[in-house]
Amino acid sequence: MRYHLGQAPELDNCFVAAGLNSIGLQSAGGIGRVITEWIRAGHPPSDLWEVDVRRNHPFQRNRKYLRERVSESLGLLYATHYPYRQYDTARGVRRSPLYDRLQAVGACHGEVAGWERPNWYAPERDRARYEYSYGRQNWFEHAAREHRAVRERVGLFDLSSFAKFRFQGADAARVLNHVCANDVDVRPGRIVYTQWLNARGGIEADLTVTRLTRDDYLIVTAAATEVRDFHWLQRHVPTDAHCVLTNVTSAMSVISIMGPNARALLQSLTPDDLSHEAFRFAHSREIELGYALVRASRITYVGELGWELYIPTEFTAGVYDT
Amino acid sequence: MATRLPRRASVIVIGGGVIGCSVAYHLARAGVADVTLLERRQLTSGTTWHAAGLVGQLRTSINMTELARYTSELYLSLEAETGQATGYRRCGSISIATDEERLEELRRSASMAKVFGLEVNVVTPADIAARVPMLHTADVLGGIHIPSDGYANAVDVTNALARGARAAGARLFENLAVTAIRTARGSATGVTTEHGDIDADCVVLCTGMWTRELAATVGVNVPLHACEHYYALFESVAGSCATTTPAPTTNTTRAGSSSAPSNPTPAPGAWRASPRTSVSTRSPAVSSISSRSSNRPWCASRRWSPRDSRRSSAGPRVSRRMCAITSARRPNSTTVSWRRG
Repeated sequence: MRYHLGQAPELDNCFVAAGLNSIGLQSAGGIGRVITEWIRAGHPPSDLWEVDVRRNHPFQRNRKYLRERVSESLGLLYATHYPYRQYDTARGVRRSPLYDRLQAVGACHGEVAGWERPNWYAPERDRARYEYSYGRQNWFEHAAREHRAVRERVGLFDLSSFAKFRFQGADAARVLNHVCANDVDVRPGRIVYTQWLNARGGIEADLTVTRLTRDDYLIVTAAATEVRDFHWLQRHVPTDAHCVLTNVTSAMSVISIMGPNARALLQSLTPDDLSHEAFRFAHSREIELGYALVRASRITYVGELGWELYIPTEFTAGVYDT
Repeated sequence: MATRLPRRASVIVIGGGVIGCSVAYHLARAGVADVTLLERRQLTSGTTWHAAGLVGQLRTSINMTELARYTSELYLSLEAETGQATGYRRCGSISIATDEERLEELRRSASMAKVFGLEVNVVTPADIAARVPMLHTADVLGGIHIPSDGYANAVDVTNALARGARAAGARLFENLAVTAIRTARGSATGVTTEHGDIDADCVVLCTGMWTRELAATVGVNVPLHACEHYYALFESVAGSCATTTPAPTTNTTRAGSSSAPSNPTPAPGAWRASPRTSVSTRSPAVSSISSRSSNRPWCASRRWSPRDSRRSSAGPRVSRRMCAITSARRPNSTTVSWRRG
């Protein structure tokens, strides 16, 4: 269990150092020192991501969630700390529209930031649960088969837990170009993979930025850093800048189709031209898929040919069934 | 009190436990002027007062281990610096394993510790028995020994930090409750107390169990929920250190881990024992506790005060000897730690 430390993202000049959970005495010296340095320098003196208050998500102050989850996590403090250990309590808090469908085909979901995400798939649905060990765990062969399937044929990933932000306004490009290490003043329809750096050149965020129109950007980052990344950009918007940052994580689900056969699979489902000449890497546009209009971004997380499909939430099940 | 209350501070630290006092200490010692700490009752009266006092250093990452190691180093010098005894003893710690997977976990953490530059020795059951003679080691598979771990008196450490903070110019107020955090234009600007407002450039919430509620008043999210810990209080144990007790449960699944001071001579020390380490107790008082119902915590579940010497619900007259038991969700993983009071 990790304590809570650092500058509160919601309120300037407000710091937190609490929730020490039986390690207060052995941590107090270090905490006093880093809080002092943090206050004086305006930034943490070292990598303190694991205890930074910005890891917390708004829903986690829900008291029912807290009561049930801490009753388990406190006990786990002294239990064997298996790799990939999942919680039993307070599960199913954030579920993509595909949750039930994927569970029906053998998904073993793990949890990050409240999101249920398929970590691996079992061939028999009733075996889709972790058997913990310090050695090779029961999912290993299934992950190997998945790897080969994606590498040789095609696979489907539910990446709905991606944090997604819209950054819009006449000054959006200028502000974003100041925050991003890479140049994002690109033509609409281009995707830029970039980092957000601090004043010391250290990486604060690692994400993609897609220019939708001249004054409209879609930023996609990890589920775990939703709060942290949102506040980093928010904090760097000048007060007189004409732009608005909106969290649209819940507005879209993401289905990723990856593998050498990705184009063949998707082309059979859309009249739009997905050929390499017509749809190059790091480009993004709307396409028709099934009955829906989805944003298809040709980018990859796994090193294969493929597209991330950004689908308005209510269309997701239909697209999946297609 | 009202006349002495400052009208402004550079940094207001809310909460006078070990964390708040350490923050005030470090700020003041770094040369930050006008540091003000506000504690609504007495220093340590939140949750610091009942800390078991263990000062371990090995954490799951190099940066966290570095913070813990710095803390240990600080406690070494705190008494000389402030004139306030801390009770800090660098007796070392031993974490033991009674099943293979726990042993694997301990071995991995020892490997990590080597990378972090923290001395950790993998030890055999024979090593452990030699270092902790009263420990029953028949079911111990091995463990790790961290020579620079130790224990301290949490209240004394906090008072030492408070002294050091005051000596460096910080002002610490007890019996002064913050009733609100003041804000303007998206920034904290100070606090309101029972005796008036204080402006500040910065506010630090070191309010332990109460942080979720206090932070929520200004829209800051700190997901915390208080949990009970249990205590057992024992008679003085004849002879050397108190021994471990049999598990209060009959569950036969795998045990938890435990740790014990590695001081070879029986001496006061903080240590824990696995409920599966079936050491026979030397104290009749302890035996009678351990024979109680397996599913209920076998000790006083009421709030314990350092000056309390009434009978516990377990029966035997309590002494200042204090036992802290952390009860896990599954009773078989209860671990026990105690120290001589």
